[in-house]
Amino acid sequence: MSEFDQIPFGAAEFADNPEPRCPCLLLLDISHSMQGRPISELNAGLRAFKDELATDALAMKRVEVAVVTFGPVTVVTEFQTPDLFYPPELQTSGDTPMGAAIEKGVEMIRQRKDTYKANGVSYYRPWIFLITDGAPTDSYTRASQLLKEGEASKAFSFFAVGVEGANMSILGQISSREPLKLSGLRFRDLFAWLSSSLSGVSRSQVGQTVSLAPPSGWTQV
Amino acid sequence: MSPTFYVNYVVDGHKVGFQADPYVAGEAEHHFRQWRIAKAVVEGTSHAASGAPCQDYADISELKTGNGPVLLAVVSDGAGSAAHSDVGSQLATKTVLDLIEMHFEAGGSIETIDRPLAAAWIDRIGHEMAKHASKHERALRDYACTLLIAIVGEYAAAFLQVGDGAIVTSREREEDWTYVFWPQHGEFANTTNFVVSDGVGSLFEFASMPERVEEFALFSDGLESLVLHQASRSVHEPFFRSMIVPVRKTATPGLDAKLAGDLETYLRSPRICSRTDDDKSLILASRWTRHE
Repeated sequence: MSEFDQIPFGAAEFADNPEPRCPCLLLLDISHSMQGRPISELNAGLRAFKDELATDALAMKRVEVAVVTFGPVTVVTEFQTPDLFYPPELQTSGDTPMGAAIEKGVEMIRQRKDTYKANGVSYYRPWIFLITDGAPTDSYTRASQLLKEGEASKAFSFFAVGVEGANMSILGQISSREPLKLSGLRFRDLFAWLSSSLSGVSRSQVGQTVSLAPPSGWTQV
Repeated sequence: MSPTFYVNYVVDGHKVGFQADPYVAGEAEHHFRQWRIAKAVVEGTSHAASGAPCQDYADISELKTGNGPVLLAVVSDGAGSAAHSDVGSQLATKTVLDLIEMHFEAGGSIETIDRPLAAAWIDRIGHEMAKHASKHERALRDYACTLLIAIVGEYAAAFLQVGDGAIVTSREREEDWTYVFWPQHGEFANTTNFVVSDGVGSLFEFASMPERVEEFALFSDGLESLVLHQASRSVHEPFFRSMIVPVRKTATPGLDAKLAGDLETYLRSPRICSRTDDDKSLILASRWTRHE
């Protein structure tokens, strides 16, 4: 019988610390051109995203999802853990103020980190995931600058995914990382990859670079 | 006429003398007790699942020096993504123990350990790792690991830290446990500093104190979230106050094999592994006796 097993600890054995958080912000283009099958597949993808995350007990405690749609730029859901994330049924709307949406997203990430720090909560490097089928209808100079600075200072990781019709060249200018082209309307596969990647990050230990499964199946190389 | 203090000399529970000692003030009795030490290193359940080796390493060394006995305790945690960090953590530990032993053999004391000397040790470890890596055609970063060192003498102690995990000490009367350095984490939960990191010479923590440390513990980051309060940056004292008791009660001085086995069993237990799947190292040391 272990000496240490005989210690009458009671409930005070361990410290009660909050889980480290893995924030993921979705920036979703819901402009007119997404009407019909594209938006309905995007909605189905969001539901699949929640369902996938729900299968991972650790991800459920650590991943935080926020959703911003554009245009106009609207915060649909603030950062919350997957159990409290109710996938919205998105409708198409107006134009594509991508620049403003990115600026909003970067600001939300900054504020979330401030909240974590104020509460002694540790966190993994946040993800910003932009999905668009067009080109920005507003100025994106400042957005582009913020993304470059953010990536350079390792403040977050930004990923851009272009749906059929997206201006990949402009996306390539805005994003430090090579933008990916969605194959058809395979949102479900995209979100399955995203939830799996986030699960991997949320259980990564110190000094572990998370090797994400290469995006495949849902993207054209 | 200067005051004379009558002191009971007690060695390991046996009163061996009673004499006037004008140099001792304020102590009713002076206890000279040898260290009891428990040490365990356990691979994380996530490592067992992936087949990765345990990347933590820990060791202790008891030296007899000109200024009395000195206890060395070292914990090193290899980086998860570094291919051979299990080799790194073992190499770092063995190298630094050799270096510290040489310091005392050459007539050094704890008081003569300063930050520049500690920096030289870290530099030397990096050098040894580079040599080893090169010989085996590996990159130096494959050996990335943290390093926690406690050097505890009769009336002085020195501490060194690169990376996360922590060293905690208790003061005899109050039994309050405090950390020496807060774990070094970068902005993100999964980042820290390593012995092989660029600029480690200015990143490492060093402290030296002319105090008698009666009890202390070292642990790697696998246990951090269980025994440190992150929001308030404090030590979860109930854990250490309880865990040190079996160590105090151990009859034989030195590294106790049964205690080590018991500690290992504890670290493998479900209530630990349900909370952390990382490698875990824990050293507990005590030379405490309650004043009679």
